[in-house]
Amino acid sequence: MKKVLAETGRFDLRPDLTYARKEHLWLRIEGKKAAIGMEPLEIESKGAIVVVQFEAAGTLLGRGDPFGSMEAEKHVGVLRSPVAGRITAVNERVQQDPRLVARDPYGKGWMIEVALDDFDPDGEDFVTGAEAAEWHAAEVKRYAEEGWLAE
Amino acid sequence: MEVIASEAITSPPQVSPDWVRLSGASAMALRLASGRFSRDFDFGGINLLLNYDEGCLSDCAYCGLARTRPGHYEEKSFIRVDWPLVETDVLAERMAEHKDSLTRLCISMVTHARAFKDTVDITERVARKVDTPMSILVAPPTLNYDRLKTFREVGVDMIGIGLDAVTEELFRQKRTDVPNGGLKWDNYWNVVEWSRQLFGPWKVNCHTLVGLGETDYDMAQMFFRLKSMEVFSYLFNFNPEPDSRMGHQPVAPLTRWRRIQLMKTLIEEYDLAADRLTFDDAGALCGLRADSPQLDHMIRRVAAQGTAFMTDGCPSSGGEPGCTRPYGSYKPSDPYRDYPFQPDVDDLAAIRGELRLDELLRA
Repeated sequence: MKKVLAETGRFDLRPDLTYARKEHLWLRIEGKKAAIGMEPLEIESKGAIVVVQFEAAGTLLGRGDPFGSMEAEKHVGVLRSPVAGRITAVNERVQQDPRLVARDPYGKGWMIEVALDDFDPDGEDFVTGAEAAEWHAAEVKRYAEEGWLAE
Repeated sequence: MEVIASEAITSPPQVSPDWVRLSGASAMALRLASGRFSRDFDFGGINLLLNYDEGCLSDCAYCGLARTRPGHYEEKSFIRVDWPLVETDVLAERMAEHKDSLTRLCISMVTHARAFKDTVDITERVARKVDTPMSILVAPPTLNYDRLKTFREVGVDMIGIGLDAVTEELFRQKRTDVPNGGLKWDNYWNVVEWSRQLFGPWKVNCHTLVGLGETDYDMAQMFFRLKSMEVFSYLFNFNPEPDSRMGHQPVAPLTRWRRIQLMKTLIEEYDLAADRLTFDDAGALCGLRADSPQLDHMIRRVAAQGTAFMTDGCPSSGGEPGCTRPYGSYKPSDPYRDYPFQPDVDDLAAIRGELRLDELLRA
């Protein structure tokens, strides 16, 4: 039988990834391409994810444009792109099995791949390494204060 | 090496009264589960559900907990979402920690031989920790007058009866003449009347479900019947549970739902007379006969205020909505069926478009 989640656990951050502060997404940048997924704190705060949908490959995105939507049991929201570019691939497996996002956020739960336009990873919207850890710790505290995390 | 008998490592059953299920929204409110609502609003209505390995022994055609619905009981959804399981004493402690934000507690019984005894036990454990007003959504086959009296004596202040089907014929089709059915319309009404005697006026409610196959006329008849008894009607929107026997039945159109919400409020709270309502040959509400400016103004005012479209539920100790079941019978991506908060300006504009009140008043 299922038990209620009794503690929030640790939220995994990867030193090799870039994090978009506002969208709480991770980016794995290779040359002019980026794979994008959602970081574990944001996933946890949504509750059980039941539907994920992405725009089609080939869609052009501006910074902040919707690239899909995510619905949880008590929440629905737009997924907004932290970067400008063109979607080159979407993760069909996540659309078929939305809970994959939570089960393997940095692996099989990736969301889209984007061919980047003029991306500046040093801009203030993005963090990595020690700066990411500092940002994330503050966000964990904020999310807890909002009441979005199990205690 | 000593072999440990398999019995020794088998966990005890996680069943009531020591364990209880709670709604996803309740688990979030008590910080027992992570999650957030699409919109920001206060929420403190905690809904609990008894849990047994055998599940609910009823088999209602539309219910997620129905016996013949495929799947193990512990994996079944109820009103479409998972209900996590938690130890009753842990839950009571958690309620005490969050008591200032709690508005209403409700325990939903299921049809099971131990349900009455266990509901009393859980009620007492919770009442020792918090003084939040408490309701029971009862399982009539497990009850009699004296048992209802016991609920009152342990501190329950409101009783809900999940009538759901608003005509005797529909009740028989969906709840009696089903594979493992047998629920009795008369038994449900006996419990309504006993509860009304014991708990007093406007302390009892009947759940009335829109979308099981009833007409608007049937709904109106039920609203008048319950009002005459000083019993609330709490409206629920049928939303099909996947794999249930009614899993493919569509939900009520939004305009129909809005008009029933308004009709119920006008009857229950504003004494609208039966001869003000007109129905077509199929029993659909087709007109509100407001033949005086005062009545026309009153109807428009009620529709414009928005409270008619909020969730029906037992109140908080201050009389505010206490049990608001956010996204309980619709998905977050659907339009709100019943609002768990006071609708704002944008919501009211949406409601106006869905309700099409002028069509009713012109008819």
